[in-house]
Amino acid sequence: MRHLSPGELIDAAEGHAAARATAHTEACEACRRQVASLREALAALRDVPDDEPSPLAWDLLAARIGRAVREAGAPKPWWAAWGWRFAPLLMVAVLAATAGVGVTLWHQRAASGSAASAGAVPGADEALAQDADGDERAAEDPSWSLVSDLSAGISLDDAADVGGLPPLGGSERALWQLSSDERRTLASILEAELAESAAAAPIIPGV
Amino acid sequence: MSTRAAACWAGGIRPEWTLTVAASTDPPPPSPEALAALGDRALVRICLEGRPEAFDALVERYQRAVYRLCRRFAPAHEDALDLSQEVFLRAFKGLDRFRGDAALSTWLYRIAVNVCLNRAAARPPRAVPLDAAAPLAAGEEDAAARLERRGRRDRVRAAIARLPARQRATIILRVYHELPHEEIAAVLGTTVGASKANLFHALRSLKRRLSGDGTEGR
Ligand SMILES: [Zn+2]
Repeated sequence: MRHLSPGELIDAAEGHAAARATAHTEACEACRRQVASLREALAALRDVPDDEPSPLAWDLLAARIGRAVREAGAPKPWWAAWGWRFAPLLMVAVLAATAGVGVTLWHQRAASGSAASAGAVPGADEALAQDADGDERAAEDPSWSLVSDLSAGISLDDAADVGGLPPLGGSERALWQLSSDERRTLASILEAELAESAAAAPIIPGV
Repeated sequence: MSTRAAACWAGGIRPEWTLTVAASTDPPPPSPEALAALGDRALVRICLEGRPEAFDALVERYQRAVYRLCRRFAPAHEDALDLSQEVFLRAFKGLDRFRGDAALSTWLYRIAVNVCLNRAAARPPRAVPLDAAAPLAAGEEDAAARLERRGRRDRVRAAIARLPARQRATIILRVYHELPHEEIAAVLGTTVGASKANLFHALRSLKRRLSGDGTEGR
């Protein structure tokens, strides 16, 4: 005889037991006691009503939220709001891209441009080769130094915590191909969001 | 003024253009009553067009539910107000991420549970002193009964506060908000089976704690 599962016990305690559960509890003392105990716990909880605030509280709360919302300005675009969550990941990708470019360029110089671009960053070679002089332009761009400063304290564990290390290839190419304006925007988002370090990681993902 | 127009004026010739002052073609902002009659999705859209008054209508619609949820997580009324404000602020900032595939209420509950659990994680539950609790509605209850009732409420609150996060959220959504398990699963990003299992384990822990020796201290 299989006893009721937690789900079946909950259904029974909440008053919608399936036929099998009803038949079982009639025959099984242990499950009957479990159902009764769950019902008692539910009743004890329901016996604690909400603390209702004063009726005036709603107008005050609405006014307070209205002020906060207007101070916050227009809703941000999704990528700005999500920037902080992926910031460590992006930083690792940026570092990987930088390292990849370095290795690729070193290979190219060492092999005088023959088969040198094979494989430092799979799939990124072509774009990186085209952008070899962008390397020096980027070195003077303050947004890159901000990104590298901010990423100095990020460990691989941090990166793994936010969803695993990035696959090599497309992501660093995408980052590398950002225009200088886009890099500055990314840097300012990272700066702003990391400044708000009070924001804890959500317990339920996706909000 | 263009050189041509200047030349016209200088030569005493009437310019060919005329100046027309036209009223703006933007419709007047909808009244609070008109907004209140709109559905959630329409309000979200209007808000994203840069009209925060549409968000006011959503606040008006959901602030009680959000407050009540926060109050179940919060030790005091003031904390619940702070949490409610944070929930709506987050919803506002992330409004363009609201996808209409779930009800707005589910989305708000999801944000609220996250905000409350994060706050609780940052500040572990403390014992609520009896005299700090909100006053009960005045009735014919004598002082002893009132005290006993308040004590029971504080014990239940403290016991719930010590449950693991998902069990706590499940208990609150199921028992105090009477959400169906399907919606709890949507709010918590889990399954109906997991919601029932969470409720089962939560009730068992609470039963043990509440009917035990009553020691809810550390
Ligand atoms: Zn059984």
